[in-house]
Amino acid sequence: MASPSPKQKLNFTLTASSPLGRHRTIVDGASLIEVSPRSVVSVSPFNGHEAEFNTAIDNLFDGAYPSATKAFELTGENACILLPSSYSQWFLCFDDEVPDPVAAASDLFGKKTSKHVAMTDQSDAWVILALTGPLVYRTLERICPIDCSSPAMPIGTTARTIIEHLGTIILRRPNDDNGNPCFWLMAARSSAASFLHVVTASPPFTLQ
Amino acid sequence: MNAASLSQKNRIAGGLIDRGKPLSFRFDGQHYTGFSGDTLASALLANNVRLVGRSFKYHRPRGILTAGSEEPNALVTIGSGASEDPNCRATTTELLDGLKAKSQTKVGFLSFDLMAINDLLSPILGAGFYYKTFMWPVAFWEKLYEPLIRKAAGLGSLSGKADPDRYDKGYLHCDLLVIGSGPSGLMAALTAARSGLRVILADEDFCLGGRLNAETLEIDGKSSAMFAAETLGVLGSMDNVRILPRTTVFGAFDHGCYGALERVNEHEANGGIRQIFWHVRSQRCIVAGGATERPIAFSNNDRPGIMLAGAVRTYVNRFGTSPGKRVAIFTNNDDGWTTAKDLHAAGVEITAIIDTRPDGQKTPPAGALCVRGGHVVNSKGRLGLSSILIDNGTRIPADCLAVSGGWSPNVHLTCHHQSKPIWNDEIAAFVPGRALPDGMIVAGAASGTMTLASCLKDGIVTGQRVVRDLGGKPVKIKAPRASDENFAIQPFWHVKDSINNAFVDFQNDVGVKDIKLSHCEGFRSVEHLKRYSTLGMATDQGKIANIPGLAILADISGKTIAETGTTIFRPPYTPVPIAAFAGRSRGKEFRPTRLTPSHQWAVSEGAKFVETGIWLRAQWYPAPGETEWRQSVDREVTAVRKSVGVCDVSTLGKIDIQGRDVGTFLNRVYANGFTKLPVGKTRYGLMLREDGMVMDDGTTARLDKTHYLMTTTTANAVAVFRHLEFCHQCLWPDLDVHLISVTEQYAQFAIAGPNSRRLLEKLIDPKEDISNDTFPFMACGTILICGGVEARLFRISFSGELAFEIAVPARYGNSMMRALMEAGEEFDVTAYGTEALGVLRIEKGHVAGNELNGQTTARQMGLGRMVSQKKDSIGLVLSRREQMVRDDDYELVGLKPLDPKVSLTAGAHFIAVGAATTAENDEGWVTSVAYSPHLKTSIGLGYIRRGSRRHGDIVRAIDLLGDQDIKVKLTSQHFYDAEGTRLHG
Repeated sequence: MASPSPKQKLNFTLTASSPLGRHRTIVDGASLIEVSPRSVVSVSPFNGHEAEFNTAIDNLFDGAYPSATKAFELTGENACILLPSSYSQWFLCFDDEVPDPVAAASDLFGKKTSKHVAMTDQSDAWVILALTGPLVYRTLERICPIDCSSPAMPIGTTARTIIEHLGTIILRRPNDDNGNPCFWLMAARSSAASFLHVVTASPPFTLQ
Repeated sequence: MNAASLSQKNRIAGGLIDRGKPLSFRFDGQHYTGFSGDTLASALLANNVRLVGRSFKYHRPRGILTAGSEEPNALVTIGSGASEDPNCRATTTELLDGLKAKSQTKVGFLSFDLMAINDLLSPILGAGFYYKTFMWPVAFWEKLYEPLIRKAAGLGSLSGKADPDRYDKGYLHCDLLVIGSGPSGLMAALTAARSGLRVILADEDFCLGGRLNAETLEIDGKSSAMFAAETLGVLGSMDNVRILPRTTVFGAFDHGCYGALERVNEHEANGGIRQIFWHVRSQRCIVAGGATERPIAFSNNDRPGIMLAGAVRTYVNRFGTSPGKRVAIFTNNDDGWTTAKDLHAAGVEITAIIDTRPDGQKTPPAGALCVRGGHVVNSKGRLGLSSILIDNGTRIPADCLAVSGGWSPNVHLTCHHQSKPIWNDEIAAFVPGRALPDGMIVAGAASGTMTLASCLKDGIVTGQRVVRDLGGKPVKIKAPRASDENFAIQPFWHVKDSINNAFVDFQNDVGVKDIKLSHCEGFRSVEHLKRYSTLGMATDQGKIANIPGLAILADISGKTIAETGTTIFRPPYTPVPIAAFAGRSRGKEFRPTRLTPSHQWAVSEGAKFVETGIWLRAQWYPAPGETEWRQSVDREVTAVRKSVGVCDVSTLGKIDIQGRDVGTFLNRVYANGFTKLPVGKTRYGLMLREDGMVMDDGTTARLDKTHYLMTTTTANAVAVFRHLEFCHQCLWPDLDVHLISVTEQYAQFAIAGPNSRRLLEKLIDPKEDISNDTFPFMACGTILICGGVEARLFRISFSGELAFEIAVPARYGNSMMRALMEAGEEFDVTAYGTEALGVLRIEKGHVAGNELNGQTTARQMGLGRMVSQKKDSIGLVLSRREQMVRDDDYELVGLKPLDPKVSLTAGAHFIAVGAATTAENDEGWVTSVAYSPHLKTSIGLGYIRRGSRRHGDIVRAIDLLGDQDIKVKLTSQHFYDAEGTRLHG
């Protein structure tokens, strides 16, 4: 058996793959598109540092206060969305992939605050599907036990629920250019194929 | 009149059917035509088909009794083959082109049913007959009597084939759910919708409007049917209204949740969803389900042609069909006279009106005999009514008898939370009780408001009340102009002198004599009557029979009806197929599937997969030429022992734990100590439940001062996370601990074998040092691999070999597996699956799911000393219980068959050599077995009493299921490298 040299030139590279291979389904009345990869970091303030964290949120998101059902959006250079994910925990979803998501989140909050915040990279844990179109409610009413209608879930609202046994985060995004509603459905990466099937087995993607 | 109409002998003018759309259908093989808008029942009546089925018990000829979901007689089977759908009510089955229906409950022909002999024997086949007759011999009940009775009993049968139709379920939300689209329902929905509420209006009919479509009443100067259509048009145009036709709200459940079944493509072979089971969540619900007409019991009151008067009006007014050419009417209330008026207006001959009330001012139509204070005592006609006999001895010719015994409000849904309805003398019926389900209000006829103008007004008022309840401002709606019909009633439940074949519950063949017998036998409570006689049982749920039945019981027992009370109405209101409850969750869609990050690569390698929970994992990877699974697994195990193997272990639970108090937290949730775990080190942890039993095991790595990573078994990943959250949120909220699952975030691979380090060194950054000195056994850390990807490396081993586990972001999982396999080519690297993983750990003597089955202790596993007595932890106290520390407890051992060619069986029980194979002699059981390529024999792990002191003993391993009884030698559980020198290499 040949003895390898640990100092030999590295010629192995890793290729990233998206959970659903950048899936797209477009039918009359709705589209279902896998959202491009983006960095996601969970943030949770250490005990005793909640007020400091809340102030940081207020400053970053223009007076917003952490809420259990409301997501906040930051535009510009540090474009991202902050959405509640659990008790005293939020997900910071950047608009793009960043090389070191936790470092980027730390930079956003500032060193002083960040050292008292638990941060965990969640970028690879989720598949995000954007469900858009005038008939999205026909899809959601078949799979989603919570009320996603506009009065109950206006733009920017988020909730955690179960869709066909799969834990799901739902985020109501701004309407598309045609005024049609848009939702992000975030589910676990490993069951992304099953999740996709659940959605596409519903109208208008499947015959009523 | 077109050709289709001409072929339908009883078709008359008018109605809401579309005569421009003739439909062809078959009943019992015979071809007929009807029209769009017909039900199967109305089309059969139009074609003068009166005999549609046989009764459940006596096989008596039966015809259509009603025009709705309360129908007890006209139960037919629709379709054929796998799609065959039994027990469909012809009265609610929408007529479709090509529909095939057949009658049920018969042996032979419908017109000549061989089982009709039961009718001749009916005097001895009364209620309770089975209980009294088939008592002896006892053994005959299950083997002979019951099968025979079941075969003889009626109703349709399932095809026995897999249901090919598609079903779904869904969730609807609204401020107000209105059940029923009659006058009250429509006005309530309109009021609420115009006031801004989100409204769902559900009705079981395909043509909404309720009785408005069945009557010739006027509202705002137009027909009631037109008023319904126009109001529905307004509602349909509103964005905040959802109209659900063909939808039965079948149950009221907790917290404003209602179950509803929508028949979307019922009996249509178009590939669409057949039915949807909706969970409707509503802040308020208005039950406007109307009322159901009652029959009057007299001898032979069940002949085809005898119908409820309201149903007769429905067929005439809505379906343009006369149920007979010569119709007689038998009534105890003004409704019978309304029937006479409508039939006369439609040109149908009325032969007689028999009103049980002696007084009255109404004038009968010309030519009709009017009998006041009389009653029908019998009927004649073998397969259909030909005449009736009244109490004065007059026989009156009639092919249809319209009977009205009054109307009962549909209180069914109001009782689903155990509310008791209240008797109302004025309408001689029960009305909803006071303790309704939260958020439910009843309106219109369902609440006992029995006339049109009152119902319209009640709908508006109730709708406004709901709006106010929900904090809104109700709009003012002027009640439409309508009059209140006469609704005087004098209760008359049964003709006292005609007892034989005087039916009360048509679906269950329960008559007046059965109720009398029940009372005679001592079954005098209404609930006992129900069980003894089957009155109001099963799908009927007392819709028609309940009130007359208990009124007769009250009469017999000398009590009032209010004192007698009612039975309990239970969901579902009408039958719901189990398939609808299952919805889309059938077959492979019963539950989701989780795929490992390297799944795609495993598929490309031809891996064989196994379901572990909902994970799909590679079980083994067959190589060319391998025909048996053992060949592949032996090769994979040998490769790991000799060189290096790679296994995707991403399914293990991974929990990221951060905070200043994580050490304390871990010290409490793990039985062994964790406060002194240094940064850069990993430790095996044993987690107990509160009861002292082992819950799970795994490793926890300290990545930083306040940052830890816990791994769990695959099976317990969710349970452990939930347990930790409970501990954190409920037991020790003061601890600074932050939990999040990272199971999905990382693809993790075990690289095991003497060449594992060499393989890894080809992938990691040249600056990284993973030598034994720098990165010893149980070390952990972050490294860069493959040109800069950050990975986590753990020096842990499940196989007993020098081994690492490397975790990379899941996006790189598939690529990482390829890189490992390519880098390892020079070492003949081998991918191994769960089977080889199992063999390796059994050889090493590591416990896994089979040993951690929730009923075993640390002591039994040989890990008793891990349970620290120096600190408190979950399960510590109860692990000290007397029975948990007994000297002769089960203890983990290894075992080998004396004959190395024999394979062990997991689940076999240990019995001493020479002892009888009895439960008393059972000494333990085999938990895991495998063929060890290393030892070239089958090996196993198991629990046996005093096991640690019995190494070398020979006992029998008995598998009664597999009929195996072999001798095995007990050994240490560590078959391979007991000293642990290899994993430290």
